[in-house]
Amino acid sequence: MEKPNVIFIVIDALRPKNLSMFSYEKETDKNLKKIANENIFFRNYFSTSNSTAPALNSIFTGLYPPNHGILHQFPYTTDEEGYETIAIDWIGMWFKEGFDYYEEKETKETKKFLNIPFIKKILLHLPAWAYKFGKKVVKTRASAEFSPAIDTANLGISKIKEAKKPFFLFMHFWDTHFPFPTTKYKSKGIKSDTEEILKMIKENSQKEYFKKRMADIGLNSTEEMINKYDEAIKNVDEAVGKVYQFLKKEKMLDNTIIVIQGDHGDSLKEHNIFFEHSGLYDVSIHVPLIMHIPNFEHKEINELAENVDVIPTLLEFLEEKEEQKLDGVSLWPLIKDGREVREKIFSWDGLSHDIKSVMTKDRKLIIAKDPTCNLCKAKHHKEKEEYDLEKDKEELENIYSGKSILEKDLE
Amino acid sequence: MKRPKKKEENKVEYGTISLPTPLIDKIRKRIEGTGMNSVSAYVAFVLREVLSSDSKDFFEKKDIKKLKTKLKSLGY
Repeated sequence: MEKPNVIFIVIDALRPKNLSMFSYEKETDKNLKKIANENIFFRNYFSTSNSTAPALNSIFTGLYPPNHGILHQFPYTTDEEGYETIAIDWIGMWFKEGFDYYEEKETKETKKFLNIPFIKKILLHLPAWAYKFGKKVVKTRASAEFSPAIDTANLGISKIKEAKKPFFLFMHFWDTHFPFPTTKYKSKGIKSDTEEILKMIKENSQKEYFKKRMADIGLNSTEEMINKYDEAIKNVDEAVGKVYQFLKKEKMLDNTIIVIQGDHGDSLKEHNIFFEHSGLYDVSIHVPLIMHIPNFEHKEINELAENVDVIPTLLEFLEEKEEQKLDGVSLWPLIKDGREVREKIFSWDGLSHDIKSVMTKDRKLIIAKDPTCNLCKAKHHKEKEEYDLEKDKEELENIYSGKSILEKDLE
Repeated sequence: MKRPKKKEENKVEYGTISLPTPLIDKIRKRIEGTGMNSVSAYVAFVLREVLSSDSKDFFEKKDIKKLKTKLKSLGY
């Protein structure tokens, strides 16, 4: 077997709760489900962070956020092994490092009447009603345009056709990140629940943030927001399906590893966190993982796995030497023989001042030294929270009673 | 499950460079407890950083502006 191509697909803010392969009532994931059923599907896969930058760095370095800095390890490794390295994304900065090609499809920015940074800045500090009015004439934070999923898929396919083999391709789909900017959605006229939500939110800063988010998306009910998220998932599902079908048709699956995963989840309304992925509850760190490994049949894995484990797995498969000690562990024993490789999941909040968590199969401890959210300034966690995940999967009842057996793991 | 066989032509070749031994000792001390397993790994890491910052500007003004606009658009 020649050296395989490697394709990484990251679907931003994709949470299992809205996928039918995780028992969601709507079929938002027709293609992903099919791919999962043909390949290795991890049910209990988690992110080291609820935020894209630290999560992506963990995916590519195999290190936990306090340890990875900005080292972009895996593209380097493949680059030096003779791979052509391609990324379709727009974050840039250090994420560009190690890639021969780093770009997304160019999009035109929306033209608005006014585009003066000073006025935009003032607008963000106005009350929600004034912000809603102002954004009609001023280019605001919701004005940037993103490349739709199908364009990302088409660009990926054209790069695969052009690439010298073997190649490493990273595709980042942003469509599923709030406010789902590439998804067209017509309001179904569902009754607004804004007032009820505002009553549930205690802190004024979060109320203002929530109202601005509603104004950004132009909808006024959470049900419609969730509908739009589901539509965004369907669009990405179709795009990923197109890439997979292309590889199948070209008979490239025999020599290509594909890793499809979310970088973090999202809290749509759970825990009184509305359309942010702040906090370390399950909804913000539990993500799907599907791996296609040539000649490997479908398998469903229920053991714990974390995003730092993907790189050690691939390095072992490719028989690459890694000089740096990684935090992640290879998932090979799990994939081959079902042997458990990790007992605990560690995560760090990238959107709040200081929150971290540790989780086993049946228990989770969250310690918030400073839970202030950088986005809405609210506090989404108590100082210490513990959940019995066997009885309380939704993490609703804090059972922390002064000490926890997991406490030493977070010291 | 068969893993890909390494082809000789795909193998990374390593060369030798000379460094003053006091510098090697300093590096050895510096990497203690950092996760870097060897002086070679550290030197390779530092050189990659230097060479990449020579060849590319990660923080070009136009890119940062584009990045900020997109992040704001996503609610950050």
